[in-house]
Amino acid sequence: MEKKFRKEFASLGDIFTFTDECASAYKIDDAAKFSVDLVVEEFFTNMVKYNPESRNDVSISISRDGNKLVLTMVDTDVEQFDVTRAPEKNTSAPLEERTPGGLGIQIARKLMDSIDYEYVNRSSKITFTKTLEQ
Amino acid sequence: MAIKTSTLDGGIGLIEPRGAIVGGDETVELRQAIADFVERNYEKLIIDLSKVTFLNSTGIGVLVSAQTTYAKKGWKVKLCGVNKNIDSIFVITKLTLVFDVSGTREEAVKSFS
Repeated sequence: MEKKFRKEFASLGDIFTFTDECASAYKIDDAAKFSVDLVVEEFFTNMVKYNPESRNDVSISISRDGNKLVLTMVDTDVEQFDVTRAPEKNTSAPLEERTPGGLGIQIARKLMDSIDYEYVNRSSKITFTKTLEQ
Repeated sequence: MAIKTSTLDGGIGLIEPRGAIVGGDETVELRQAIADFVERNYEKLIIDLSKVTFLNSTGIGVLVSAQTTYAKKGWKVKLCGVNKNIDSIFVITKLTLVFDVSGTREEAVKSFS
């Protein structure tokens, strides 16, 4: 299933409705659905915050092939930012040594099995995969 | 209001956010509620997350900030009512080692004594 969303914070409600529909259609359990919601929310919010030069809609697609869930987010007419190259955040560091930012990407790395990034014709495409419980 | 605040016997401040904490007005309210208790010198604070359905990295950042502020002063902040999904985020970010988490509000209150 695929849908486009206006690139603004107010779209989050519609996005969660979309992920609800996908979870029902693909029989995604609550824990995996929470992971999908969290990753979609973190990355969509980043697109709104950090790619404001483009007001094009963001395309989100979710599919299931056997026990593999594939989530894709496409943001067009934007500068390149390869999320897979974002530095690892040291979650073992004492609180006073931790720096803000980057936690969303770190969480996505832990929740998903893989994250791929493609940048073609000023379009950023991020693909996440996750193995679902049968 | 997404945030309810009150005080308990023993000089304990209580914050009860509800719904999703994702960096919007509700997160500003939560940050302000914590700051208010700090300003009023409440050395013990409970943040009851039992009505929180969703928490993103910004929301986690506010909780971390509360923990840092309280720890620096030698004060204590405790979380309770953490659901399974939010707990899984605390685990993967290793914040279970940082936050003092109780199962219920009653347990959190008791742990201050």
